[in-house]
Amino acid sequence: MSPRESIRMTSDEVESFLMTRSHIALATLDSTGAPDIAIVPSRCEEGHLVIEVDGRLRDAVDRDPRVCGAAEVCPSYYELRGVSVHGVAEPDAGGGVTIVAQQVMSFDFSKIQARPE
Amino acid sequence: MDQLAIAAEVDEFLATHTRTMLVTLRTDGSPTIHPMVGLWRDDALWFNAYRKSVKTRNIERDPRVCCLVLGGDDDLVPPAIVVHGRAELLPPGTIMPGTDGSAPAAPAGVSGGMVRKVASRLETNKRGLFRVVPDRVELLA
Repeated sequence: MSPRESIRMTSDEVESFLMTRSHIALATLDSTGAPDIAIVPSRCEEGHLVIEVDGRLRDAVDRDPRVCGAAEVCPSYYELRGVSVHGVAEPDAGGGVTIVAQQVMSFDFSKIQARPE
Repeated sequence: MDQLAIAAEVDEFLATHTRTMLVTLRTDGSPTIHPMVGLWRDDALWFNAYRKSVKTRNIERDPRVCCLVLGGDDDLVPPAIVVHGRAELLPPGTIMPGTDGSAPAAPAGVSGGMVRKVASRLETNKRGLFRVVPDRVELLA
C-alpha cells in the first residue's frame, strides 16, 4: 500500500467528516478559464455535498460547472484531515447547488502514526 | 506588470497565517485544490513541492493559480484572503527570503524532523520552490 493510500479515509469516514463541516472551499473557473476560490456554506445530504452560491460564484458554475470543493481541519500536523471532491455543480430545485462527484480524494494524517514502519 | 501595492492589514494577515489552499488547473482545465503551507515573503507567497507532483506539473503547463489563505485551524470560515496570480517555478538553489538556506522556513507545529526532511529534498532537487506574486488580492471578511 502506498503512503498516500494508507492515509486515505474510508467512504464512511469521508461522509462523517463532511457531515461535520459547515463550509467548504469551492474552486471554480472565471470567464477566462483562470481558477477562482471562495468559502461557501455547505452541507452533506445523502452522501452529496450541497452548497450555497450566489453572485459571481453562481455565474461561474452556470458558465462552467466544473468545480472542486475541499474541506479540511488542521489542529496540528498529525491531526490534519481533509476531503476534496472534484465534480460538476448542478442546481437543485431548492435553490442550492449539488456537487455531483466524479472523484473524491481524502487524507487523515492521524493514520501516519498507525502506519507500520 | 507593476507590482501590486499590498494594504498593511493584508500584509500582516499573510505574514502571520500559513494555512493555504492552492488552486491549479488540471490537464482538462478544471480546477483542483491542494492544501499547502504558504509563506509570505517579499510580497509573494512561497511554497515548496515535489518537482514531479501533480501541482508542479499543473503549474508548468498553466501557471494561473489562486490561493486561499485561511485565518483559523478548524472550520473554513472568514476572515481569509484570496491571492490571484501566476506561479513561478524557481531554479534549483533558490533560497527563500528570510532563511539562511540551511533549512526551509516552517510554520509553528511542524516538527524538526519534517523540516530536515524537506531541506534534504530541496537540496537534492526532489522538491523545488515556487512563488506566487499577486496580481489581485481579495479579503473575505
